[in-house]
Amino acid sequence: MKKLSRNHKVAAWCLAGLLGMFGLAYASVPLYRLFCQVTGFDGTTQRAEAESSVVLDRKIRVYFDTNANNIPWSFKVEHPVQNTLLGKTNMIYFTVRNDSKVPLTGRASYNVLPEAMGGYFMKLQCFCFTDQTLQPGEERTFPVVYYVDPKMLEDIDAKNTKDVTLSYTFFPSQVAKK
Amino acid sequence: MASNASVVHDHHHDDHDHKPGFFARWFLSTNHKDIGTLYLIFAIFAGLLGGALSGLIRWELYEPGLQVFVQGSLLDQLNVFEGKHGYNSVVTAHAVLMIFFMVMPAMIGGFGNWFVPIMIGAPDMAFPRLNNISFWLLVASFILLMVSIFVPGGPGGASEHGFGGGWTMYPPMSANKGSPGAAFDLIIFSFHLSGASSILGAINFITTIFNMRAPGMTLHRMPLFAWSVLVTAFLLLLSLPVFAGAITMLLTDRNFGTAFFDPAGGGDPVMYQHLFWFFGHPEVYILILPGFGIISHVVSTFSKKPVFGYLAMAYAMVAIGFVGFIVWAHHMYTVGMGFNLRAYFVMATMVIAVPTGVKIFSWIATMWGGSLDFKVPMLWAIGFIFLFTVGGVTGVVLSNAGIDYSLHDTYYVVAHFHYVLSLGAVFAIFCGFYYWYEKMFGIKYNELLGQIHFWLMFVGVNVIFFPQHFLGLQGMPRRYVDYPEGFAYWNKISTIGYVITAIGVVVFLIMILESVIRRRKAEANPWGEGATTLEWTLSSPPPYHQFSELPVIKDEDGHH
Repeated sequence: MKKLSRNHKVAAWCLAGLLGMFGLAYASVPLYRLFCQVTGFDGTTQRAEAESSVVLDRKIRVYFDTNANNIPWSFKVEHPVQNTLLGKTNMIYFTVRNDSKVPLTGRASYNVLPEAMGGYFMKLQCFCFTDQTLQPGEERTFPVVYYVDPKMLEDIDAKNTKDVTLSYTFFPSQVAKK
Repeated sequence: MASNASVVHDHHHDDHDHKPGFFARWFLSTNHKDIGTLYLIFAIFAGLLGGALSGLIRWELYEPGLQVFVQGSLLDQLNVFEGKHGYNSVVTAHAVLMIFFMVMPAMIGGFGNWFVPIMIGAPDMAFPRLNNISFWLLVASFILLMVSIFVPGGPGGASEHGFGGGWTMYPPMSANKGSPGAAFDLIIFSFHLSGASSILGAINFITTIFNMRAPGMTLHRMPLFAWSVLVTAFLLLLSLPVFAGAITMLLTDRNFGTAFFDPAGGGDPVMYQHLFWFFGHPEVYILILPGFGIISHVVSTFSKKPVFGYLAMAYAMVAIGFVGFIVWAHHMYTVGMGFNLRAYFVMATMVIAVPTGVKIFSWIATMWGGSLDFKVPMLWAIGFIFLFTVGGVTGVVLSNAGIDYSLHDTYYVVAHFHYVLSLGAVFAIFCGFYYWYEKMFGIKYNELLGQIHFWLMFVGVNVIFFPQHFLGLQGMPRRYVDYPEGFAYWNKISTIGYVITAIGVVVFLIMILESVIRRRKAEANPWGEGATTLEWTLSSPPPYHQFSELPVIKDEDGHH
């Protein structure tokens, strides 16, 4: 192979830097997701394997919010609000019904507000990010088991929080839309 | 490469100034000076267009209520920028034109192409053909942007033409829901092309500066303008690919069913903002750094002193470029970042004031005790220093996350970035234009017309933008077509300022026309002993191919 001239060598380095940065832009998607899941940044809720080992005598109110976006489903929660204690495990039921005349596939996405609480809202069981197909008129009930992590008291952004909102939205599934 | 170039030169030696025919010279050009001229003409044209659009904005905001962007108005009858969506399209087109098609082509494509090779003692750019491609890609990109203005793009359906989501193009505003229609897809392609153009240009500059410096022209003896273009080229090279990635994700989100930024598919619109500003913040330094280089040369020339603290000036630009990459989230304090993250971005942003301060104080120290000569370029340079400092101070105010919570997206921000760009970068461009006018075109401009142009612009832009600080502090949000009665007073003043500025631009055009008609013969070095960089050792205009014998730079040669 012909040896690269000096100019082409510099240009090749530039090109390498260019492709590297372009790749990084795409790598930011998994990196950002990983970052959100690890830190609870931007209200990403956390999945936990086991119940909290401590329960504190500190009250916290959890609000539940349900939405169906672009999909004719009724989506309800059994109680709009639960009063609980930090570290105490709770269960709440969500009910979703397909009001249309055709089978539809939806997928739930969720978020926690205030954002700083994302890292402390621990879910032991939930129904998010998996496709759910409902027949016409079919109704299904999903449980969510969660606790609010007492570690929030060590975080200056989160420690004064009295109310947390868990918001679920059902979207039509991207895969099923096609 | 240097030896290659000189071989080519020997070949041409007999007809040293032989120029190709009109078409080959201007459309197939590989000559860095001709390409520089093309870029400058392009930038002036785009600047006039972008300036005219800002006239529509100020006309609409002259008084409360809808005047221009309303049914039955002149624009409505012309079928362009109709209705309230038309206002958003105008704001977007104004920003895109000014950033990508006026400031960048003028600073980097125009002055960079013209003077970087000459200042470092090179015969041309490293890749002359690539240089030609860069320019014509930009023209193609410009055409796509123009087409997008006449294509459906607003959320209201086919009757709303053009993309109205601002130059930041945040989803969901830029997603299918906010901007259906092809206008935004055209804008994405336009950015792809202009990005490719800038990246090729950046590679060209980096290679030229690294490999083609004349004997003795070490990096630490290189003029500051060449330094500024080198740093700018690196910023372009590292930030533009991220931008290209972000808009490509938008494109696939819109057309191919991906969900990078769509929460319905598990995506996150805030991630777009991170990607965008990772490019967007270096971009604002890309716009201003070459200006820093120009100002250094002009201040030194008209003070008849070498620039104060040369090395500090060069490395201040390197520092600004580096820190520019790690402060992006100060554009998005209000997305709900945690306390510690905000604290970091506040601190990192404020740190930028240090190297910027080094530059401002070094310019002042250069003037201190110098033999000052207030010719037109020097007026622009001092105007730049003053206005850029005002813009910098409001920038430090905005860097505070707490204050930004209330000032975010108000006219205070508009005033801030127009002080550093519209008044900073544009003043630097005019400064360079007057400084090198004789050198580039071989004719003299009229000193009096130049001074009138400066004073009209200086008064005009201040009258436009200073009152916008008050509007912002009173809480007037940006990007709205209308406002309540309470904001009427300062908006009216601001529009009057626009009229003054517009008259200034007319004087600028008269200045060019006058010099072209009179054709006063230029001198090789009209500025005397203060002008020490290599371009002043050549004739005005420089020969079509310069430095067939490379200059040798010695240690005692003064540099800027």
